[in-house]
Amino acid sequence: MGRSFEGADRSRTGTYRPSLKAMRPLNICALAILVLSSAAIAPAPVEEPYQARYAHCLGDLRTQLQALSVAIGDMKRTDANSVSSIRSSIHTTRRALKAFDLWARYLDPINHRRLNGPLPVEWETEVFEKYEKPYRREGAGLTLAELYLDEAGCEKDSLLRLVSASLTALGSYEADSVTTHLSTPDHFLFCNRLMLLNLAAIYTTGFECPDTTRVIPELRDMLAELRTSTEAFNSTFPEAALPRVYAERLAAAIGFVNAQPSAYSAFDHFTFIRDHISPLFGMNQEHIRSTGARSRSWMDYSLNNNARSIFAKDLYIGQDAKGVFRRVDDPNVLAEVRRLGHTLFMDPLLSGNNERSCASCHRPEMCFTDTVLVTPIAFDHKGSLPRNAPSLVNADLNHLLMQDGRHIALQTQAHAVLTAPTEMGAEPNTTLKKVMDCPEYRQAFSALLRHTPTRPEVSMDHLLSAITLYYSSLSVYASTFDDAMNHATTADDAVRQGFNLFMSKAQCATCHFVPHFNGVKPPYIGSEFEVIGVPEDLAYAMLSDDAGRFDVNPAEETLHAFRTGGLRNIARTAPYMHNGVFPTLREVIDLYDAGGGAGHGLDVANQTLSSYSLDLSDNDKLRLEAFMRSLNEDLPAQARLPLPASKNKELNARRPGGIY
Amino acid sequence: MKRFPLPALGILITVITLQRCAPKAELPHTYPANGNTDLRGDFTAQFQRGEKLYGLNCGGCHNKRVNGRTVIPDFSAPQLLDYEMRTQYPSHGEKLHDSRVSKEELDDIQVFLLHRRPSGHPISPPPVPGPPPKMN
Ligand code: HEC
Repeated sequence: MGRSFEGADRSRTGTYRPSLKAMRPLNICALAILVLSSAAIAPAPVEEPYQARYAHCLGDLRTQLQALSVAIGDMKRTDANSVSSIRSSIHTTRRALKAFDLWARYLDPINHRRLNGPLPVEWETEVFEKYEKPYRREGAGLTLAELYLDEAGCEKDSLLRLVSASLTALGSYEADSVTTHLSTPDHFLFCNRLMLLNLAAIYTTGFECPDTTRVIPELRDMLAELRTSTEAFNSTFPEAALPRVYAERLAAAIGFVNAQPSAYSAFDHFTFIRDHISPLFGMNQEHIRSTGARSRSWMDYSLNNNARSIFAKDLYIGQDAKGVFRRVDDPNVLAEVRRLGHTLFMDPLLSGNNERSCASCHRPEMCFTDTVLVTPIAFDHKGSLPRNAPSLVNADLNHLLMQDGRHIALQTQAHAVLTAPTEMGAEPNTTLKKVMDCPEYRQAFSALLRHTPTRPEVSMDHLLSAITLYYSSLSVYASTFDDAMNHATTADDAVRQGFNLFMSKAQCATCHFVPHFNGVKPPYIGSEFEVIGVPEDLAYAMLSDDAGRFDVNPAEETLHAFRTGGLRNIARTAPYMHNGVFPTLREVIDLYDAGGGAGHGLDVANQTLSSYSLDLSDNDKLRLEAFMRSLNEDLPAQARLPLPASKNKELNARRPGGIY
Repeated sequence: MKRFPLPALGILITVITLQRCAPKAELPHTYPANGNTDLRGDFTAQFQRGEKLYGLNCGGCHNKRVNGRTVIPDFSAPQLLDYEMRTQYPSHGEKLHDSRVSKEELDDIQVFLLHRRPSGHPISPPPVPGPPPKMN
């Protein structure tokens, strides 16, 4: 039931959504109309400093985009001066964009992507699109325009189209549905929160800034603009104004960045986030809580108002680990669900042959993966599975599950593994019956039924939910790195330097985002997939033939694409990559250093990673490894739980953890 | 005079009561006019789940007290925005996060709210909570 969704053409913000197709072919005449018409609907003058500031930043961005369009119209492709003047016009426009970004991202995330989307074609899903089919959208905006300008076959019309799409997208920010937010203070705190999070995770990494020499200069501009906007906010909404300590901390951040070197590889990302951005984020959170501000955007819907820092474990309200027990809050009941989940996790009864348990491949003593086998042995013992078994610690931080993003919910994923003929070979009804034939399970699950009033009988969903809650509760301790970021400990120099490399020269953070270092872009939107050209073997004789995301969503861009994995506990979860081809972290770093599979001479037509070498020294690599090791989390000791006896005596010889 | 046997009286009363109750035993909802009759059972099950889920997730804020009775207000289809209800009405916040109410459950709730017999009481939004009380 429910409503049907048209996916691609539907705006989730209720504001209008222009069709890109309608834009082409765009000639000078249409451009002139566009310029004139957008000038005609300039926002009415406003008195208050805050609204005036918004109008100013919006107007400035429009003026710059218009000037850029005109300049592109006059561009002479063969004249180097002409091209370089376009480039500098793009840079000036970017500056205006950075001033407006504070609002653009939060108030209309879809149109924000048309202002500065990073990819020529986007396929993947965002928060609520988890429930919708991925759809293809053409990228647009300044980042792409700058990249395109450098391409040999760069055509004026196509370049113009990227910029015109931005100009059209800008219209949305004048719509009443958007500007209405400006009359009350709440939205600002959420805009600001997104801005801070992105300052930590995106804007310092070169993610959306193709010319990396400009990352830190742009950061300086952005912080200065942010301060001006914050002051305007404070003066228009004195009752909701951020406290003076906040302004002082922001000033300190600006001082820090201005005193730092301009090269992003020499910039101290570690200190910037630890001493400035994360504390600002914490204060903004405190302010959201104390003013009772409420967000109405799906954009930050999974950001937890109670999280105290960017590196707090509860930053995102991520996957629904509790399943059918989702409304249970009583810690004792949850402990019981977890205990049952733990027992089931170890119980081979779940599988078709009563031999294999979840723990056979996700071995508790090996960080819930298998560090010995490259890929698991098939259920019938004929050959191996194509993909490496991932660790389950922090699996709930993912947005989409599995390396190809096949599942959206932990429980459906668990069900699929259990019933896959090559994995656990179970038949759901038989499994449920086998479990219920153990009086202890029957009693314990029956006792939980009063907590699932809409589910009056014990079902597979009860079992699966207990399992997902169990493994999603494994991450309880902070890593040394989190502790350092939260000022609970200090970090070794090697860790700090490794993190700084990770955020800059080594380009890792453009895909493994702060703070979980997985492919879930803050604030918990979408799982990103990348094509990096992982080889079949260590000699790079050929590309791994696993189609990856293509299996789920066949498209030119998704062939051999895999979901970006998380790096927490990575030092404990060898071997690496979807096929487990690399035995140590060093080989992984070497892959990136050489420019992925393509850099190693493989033919990877759609590689999303640059094929240039990163030029990392041996020392750089050691530091990157030191940083990654600092992401290890201590795991709680696992009790040895006896398996419940079954009425079927034959089954009572089974071993906790099962066998392969 | 022969006494009227007590058990017979009991039966009589039961029969009369049952008859009087009969109209009430009718389902408290209207099945969609174009609905597939084969799915009636599924629909009823979904409706009943939705009723429980409404009580668990929504009633606390939305139910009204009218003359000492609890009344479920009448929600209209355009107000029920499926999962967008989570963010379009800011008071919902974490209370309606999908780790609290799944999308399937929201669907069940919608089926319940749209097909139940109207109570005749329009939904008036509950008071929007103010900022939490200041600590210290
Ligand atoms: C925490 C209390 C709370 C809970 C729980 C809650 N709501 Fe609401 N709801 C509100 C408030 C307050 C409003 C008024 C709009 C606002 O400020 O967000 C509202 C608005 C609505 C509206 C829009 C009404 C209108 O006038 O347009 C609908 C529809 C709605 N809620 C449905 C639901 C459903 C369905 C559930 C259960 C899944 C639910 N609500 C749970 C507090 C709640």
